[in-house]
Amino acid sequence: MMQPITSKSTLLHHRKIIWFALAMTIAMDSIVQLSWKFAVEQVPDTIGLWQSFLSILHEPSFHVALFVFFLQFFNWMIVLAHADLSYAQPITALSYVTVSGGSVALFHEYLSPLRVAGLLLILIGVWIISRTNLRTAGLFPARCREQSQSEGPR
Amino acid sequence: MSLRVMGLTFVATAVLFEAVGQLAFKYGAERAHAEGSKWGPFRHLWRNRSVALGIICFVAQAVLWTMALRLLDVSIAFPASSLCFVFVALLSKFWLQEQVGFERWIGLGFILSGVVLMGLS
Repeated sequence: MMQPITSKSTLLHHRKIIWFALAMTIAMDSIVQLSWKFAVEQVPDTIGLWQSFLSILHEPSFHVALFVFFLQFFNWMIVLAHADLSYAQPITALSYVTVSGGSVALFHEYLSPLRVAGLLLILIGVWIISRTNLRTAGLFPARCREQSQSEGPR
Repeated sequence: MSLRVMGLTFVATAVLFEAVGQLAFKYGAERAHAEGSKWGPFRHLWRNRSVALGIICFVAQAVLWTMALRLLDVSIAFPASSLCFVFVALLSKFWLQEQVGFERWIGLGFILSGVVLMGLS
């Protein structure tokens, strides 16, 4: 049964778990995006759509992308078990920033001033949301109470 | 219907599927955590219908998004996809009873305008 968060120490404990898992989310998102892009880059443009799809399947970096994507699912479940969806989901926008940084470093993509301004706005938005209370609603404590009431005295 | 309108319809549907999928994941994670122990989220994940629904929504979203990208430029599709943040916030507020207060909306506003700027560049 899920415990409602009451004491200060549990809250601190939860915060650490969630922030670690959120950091993992952003790191894994970036790895998936960048290694996927890397796999696509390895395939020559000259071949057809179906053929390029088949040859991407043989790229090791694509396997990395798929594997990390799979792990990401479990990590995201940990985040969602502890934090509000309206807290965690906007914070994943940080991966726009890390992926853009990675694209500059790995693929020598150009970051226009407009794009940098956009990334800064995203950073500010994520910062504002990260300051709010990360858990304001639990789905199942109420449900447990309902069940115990409906079971009634035996 | 013009190609652009059709593309934007695809984006909107994809985004709706993604938001519903996230909601299903959230529901499944809470449930698995409530039923499980220390390894909570992992224990009952495989017979969790919400998680299955979330995965179906995710696949549908990926297909719709791919179709949208064939009709639209990324510079339009990418900012439009940030609507997902709004859908998720609204669903979290009204369905999950999360407190989406003033600060969260302001933060979302910053993120949305950032994504639009990125799309324009």
